[in-house]
Amino acid sequence: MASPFPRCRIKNPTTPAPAPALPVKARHGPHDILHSIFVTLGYREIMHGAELVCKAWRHVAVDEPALWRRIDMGTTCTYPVLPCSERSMVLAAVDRVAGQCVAFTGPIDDDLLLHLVVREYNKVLNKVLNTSLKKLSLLEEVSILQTPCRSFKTWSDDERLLESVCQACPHLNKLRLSGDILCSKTYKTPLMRELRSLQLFDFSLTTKALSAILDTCPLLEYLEVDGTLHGTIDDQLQMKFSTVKNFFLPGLK
Amino acid sequence: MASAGSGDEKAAAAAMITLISSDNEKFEVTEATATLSQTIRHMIEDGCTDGGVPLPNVTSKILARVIEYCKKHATAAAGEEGSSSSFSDAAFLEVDRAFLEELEEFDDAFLEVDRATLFDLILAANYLDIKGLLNLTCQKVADSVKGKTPEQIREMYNIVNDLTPEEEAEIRRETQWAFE
Repeated sequence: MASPFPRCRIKNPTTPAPAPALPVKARHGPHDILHSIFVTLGYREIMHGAELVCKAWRHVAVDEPALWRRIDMGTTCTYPVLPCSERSMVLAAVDRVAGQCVAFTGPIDDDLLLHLVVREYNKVLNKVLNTSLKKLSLLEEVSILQTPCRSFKTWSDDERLLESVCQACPHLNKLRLSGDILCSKTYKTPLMRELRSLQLFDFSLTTKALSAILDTCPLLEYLEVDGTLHGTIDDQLQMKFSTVKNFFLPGLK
Repeated sequence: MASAGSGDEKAAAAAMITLISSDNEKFEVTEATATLSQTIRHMIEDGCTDGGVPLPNVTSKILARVIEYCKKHATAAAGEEGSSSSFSDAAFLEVDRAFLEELEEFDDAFLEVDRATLFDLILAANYLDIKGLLNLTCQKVADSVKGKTPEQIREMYNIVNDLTPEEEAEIRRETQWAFE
């Protein structure tokens, strides 16, 4: 049987079906077909069945903010307190829309409302911050300390705080930041030739990422990292620490 | 306004376009019918429809169905336009409703096809960029998926579950709601 669902592997058909070729030069990617089906399907249905079918279906459900721009979870839920499953569905939907929400209908409580607002607010704030920093590319000293309510995982992969700041201001001498999540996969900063002092507070990062940071800061004299460090500190990282005159890792084991 | 409208209609009716299916069958349709497809509309605008429009991705069987859909919907659209000048408001609404009901009946009957044909219609609607037909056919698939578990969906559409056990475990953690 032919499938309009490209990239889904089809089981051997029980009958030798005449399988017409998929359109080679479809005007829109075949991705759009699944997208169109999901739009008509509605969120509850997607989250309860469709997105768990296979990789291709999951990809469309999770990685397409456009699908979640208008979140309509329905208003059938009238509990005084939201049940856990409802909460997690709404939270996931809000995360998937990645700060591009234009309409929201559904059960909500104070915490969820805050989550929704913070995602939207941070998206704007991140943009403002990025734009401002780019216009101040000669800065030598930067300190950005965020309030606790920003400790939500709000920076998407392409706009990590540390990376954005380093890319915008390559002449930094002293940098203090708080509240960011880093793993080595996404860490891409330019060589910080002049950076001598680096302080990271309330960070969640891997030893690999920390190691990569140290690689790009040859002149670092002072390093302070506070937060959660995942992974083990091996000899190589220990060596890199020793090239820094003063390093301070409170709270890290 | 009324005369201008019907004049356009006549002009559109006069202009014929030839569509050529993948198995080389030729279909002659009015421009009004053909332009329900955005793909063909752009080709007409670019003036490259002389000698017929080859559609290598659409078989004659499917193209015949697609044309059937476009003819009906193009006629309905033209009918609505014409009616606005010759009926009072109340009568117009009545006629409008009758058109919509008839169109709905047509759509329902149109969708009475086997699954392979439905898929081919989706692909053709996507390729030809016919929004109404794409929505209609996608809705049919969406309806068939509604209320089904992932396993039932896989079975229905012969889809292999290519998620690794690790990925499935992670999804289970992330999507607790689906397993409660």
